[in-house]
Amino acid sequence: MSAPIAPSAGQVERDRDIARRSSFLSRALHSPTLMTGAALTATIVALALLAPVIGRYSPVSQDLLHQLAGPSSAHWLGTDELGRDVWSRLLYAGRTDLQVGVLAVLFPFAFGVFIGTVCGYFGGWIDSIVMRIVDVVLAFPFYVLIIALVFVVGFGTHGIYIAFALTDWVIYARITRSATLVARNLDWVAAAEGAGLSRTRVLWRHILPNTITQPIVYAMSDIVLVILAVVTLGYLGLGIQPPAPDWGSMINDGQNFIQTNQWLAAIPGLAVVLTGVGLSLVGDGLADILRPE
Amino acid sequence: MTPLLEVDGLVVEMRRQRTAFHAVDGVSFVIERGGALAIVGESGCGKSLTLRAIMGLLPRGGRLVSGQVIVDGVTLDRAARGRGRGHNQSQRMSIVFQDALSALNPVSKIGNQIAEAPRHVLGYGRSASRARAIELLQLVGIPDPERRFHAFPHELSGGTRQRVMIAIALSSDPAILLCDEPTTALDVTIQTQILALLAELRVERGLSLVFVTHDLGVVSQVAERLAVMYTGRFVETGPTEDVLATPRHPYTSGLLGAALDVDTPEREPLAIPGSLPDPLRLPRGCRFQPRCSLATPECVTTDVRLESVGPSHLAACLHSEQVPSARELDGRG
Repeated sequence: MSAPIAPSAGQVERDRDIARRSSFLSRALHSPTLMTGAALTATIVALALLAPVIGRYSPVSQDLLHQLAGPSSAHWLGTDELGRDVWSRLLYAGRTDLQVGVLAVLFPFAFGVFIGTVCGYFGGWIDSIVMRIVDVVLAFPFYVLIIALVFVVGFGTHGIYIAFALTDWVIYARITRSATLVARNLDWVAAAEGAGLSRTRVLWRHILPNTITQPIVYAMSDIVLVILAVVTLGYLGLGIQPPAPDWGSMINDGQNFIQTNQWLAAIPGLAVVLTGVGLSLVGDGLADILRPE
Repeated sequence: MTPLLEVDGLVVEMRRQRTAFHAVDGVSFVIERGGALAIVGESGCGKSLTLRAIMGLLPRGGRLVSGQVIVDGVTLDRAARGRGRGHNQSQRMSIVFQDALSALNPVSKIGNQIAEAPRHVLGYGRSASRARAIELLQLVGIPDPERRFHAFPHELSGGTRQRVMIAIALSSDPAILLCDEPTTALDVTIQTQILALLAELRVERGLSLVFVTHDLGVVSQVAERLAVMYTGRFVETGPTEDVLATPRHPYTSGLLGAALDVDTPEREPLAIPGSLPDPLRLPRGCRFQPRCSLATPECVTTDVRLESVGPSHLAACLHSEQVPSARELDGRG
C-alpha cells in the first residue's frame, strides 16, 4: 500500500510526451478539409478508372440517328451532336485529363525540386544563373508561353508534356530553393554536418524531407492548373485532338448548342470545377497537417 | 603530453551589410584531457561563434581569418574554413546547441538521428547502430529507450529533447563536447539535471567540455576553468573559483555585480553602465574603457592584452589590482 501520492518528475514528463504524440494518419483523419477533398478526388478518379465498365458505350462511336437526345435510360446524360453518349465521353475525358494533369506535373516537380535543392544549398554562381533563368520564364505570361510552345512542339498530349516540362519546373525550383535556404541555416543541419555526415546525405536525407512538403502541397493545386490548361488548350483546339474525348473540347463542342442543349457544355464544365475543388481541398488539408511542428 | 584541444589565435570575420568586422578576435585556450572550460559573456560577444569556428560550422557570412585548432596534436584542415565539411575529420568533437527543438530534424525519428553517425560515419551495421542508439538513450537518462527510439522531436518535452541532443553529440564517440548554452532554454530544475548529466559524463567517459553560457551561476557546476569574453576577446581567464572570488577585470566584476545572489538577498543587482559597443566602431584602447569606473587616460591609449595576475590567472586590465572582489561587491549592499 505504498502508492505514490504524486507522480515522479520523470513520470510527469513521460506522460506529457505521450500526450503530444499524434500520428500523421490520425491528424489526416481529423482534417475535414483533407477528408472532403480526398473523398471527392477519389470518387472522380474511381469514375475515370472505371470508364470501360460503367461507360456503357464507346466514347467515339457515333449514332447519327440519335443526335442531341436528352437524358434517357439509354443515354443517362443524353447524346451530343454526333449522337455520342455524353456520360461515356465524360468518363473517358476524365481519364485523359487526369492522366495528362498528373503526368505533366511529375517531371516539373522532380526536376524543379532537384534544381531548387541544389541551388539553395550550394548557392554560388550556379544559383545565380538558374535563378535568372527562372526570372525570365516567370516574366512571360503563362498561357502565352504554353500556347507558343505547343505550337512549336506540336498539338496533343506530347506537346502538353513538353510545354509544361519546359516551363513549370521554375515554380518548384523557386519554392524548394527558398525552403532550402531556410533549412540550411538551421541548427540541426549544422549538427548533422558537424557529426561528419557527407554533404549528399545531409542534403537528401535531412534537408529534402523537410523542404519537400511545400512543393508537394503546391503540386496539388498545380495539377488543377494543368488540367485547366489542358482543358483551355482543348477548348482552343490545341490540346487533346479529336476524336479522343477531353473536357475542354466537349465544352467547346457543346457551346454551339448552348441555347437548346445546355448540359452539353455545363456537364464537362462541372466536372472540371469538381476536380479542381477536390484537389485544392487535398492541397489545403495536406498543407495543414504536413507543416512541421 | 600534448593537450587534447588547443585553440590558437582564432580570428573570425563576420560580414554585416557590406562591412566586415572581427567577431572573434584572437581567442586562444588549451584544454587538457578530461578538462572543462566555461566561456562566459553577454549575447553577441562572439562566444557561440568561437565554438562554431572550432567545429568548422561557421554560418554564412562568417570566415575564419587566422588561427589554428589542434586536436590531439593534429591541426585541423584549413581548407574547410568556409563551412564545415571535412574540418572535423577526426570526429573527436561534437557540438550541443542551445535550442534542442531547432537542433533536431523535425521529420526524423530521434533513434534514427542518434544511430546515423554510428552507421554512416563510424561504419556500424544496421542492428549494431540501432543498439548503440538505444544504449545512448539509456546513458543520457531517457526511460524506456526502446519505445522512445521511435519518437519524433515534437513529441518530447524540452528536457528530453536536450538529452536526445546530447545523445546525438555522443553518438560519434567524441573526446570533446562543445556545449553552446545547452541549458539556457530550460527550466531551472531541468537545467540542474542536464548539468548533472554533463558532469557525470565527464567523470564516466573522460569527456572534455567547452561550455558556453551567459549564466555565471552554472559555471562553477560545470568547469574548473573560466574565460570571460567581451567583444570577441577573452578579457580574463583563470581557475573558476579564483575568477569568481577575486575577479581581476572590471567587466567580470560587473557581471558578478549584475547577477542576483540568493546568499545576499539584500544586495541590489548592479547593472553595468552603457551597452555592448557597436562591433564596427569599437572604442580605442581597452574596449571596456567607456563603461568602466576604473578607466584612466592610459586605458584609451594603451592596447591592453591579457597579462598574468595570479597562478594561471590572466586579465586584460591596467588596473587589475583595484577591481572589487566578490566579497567587496556583497559588502557594498
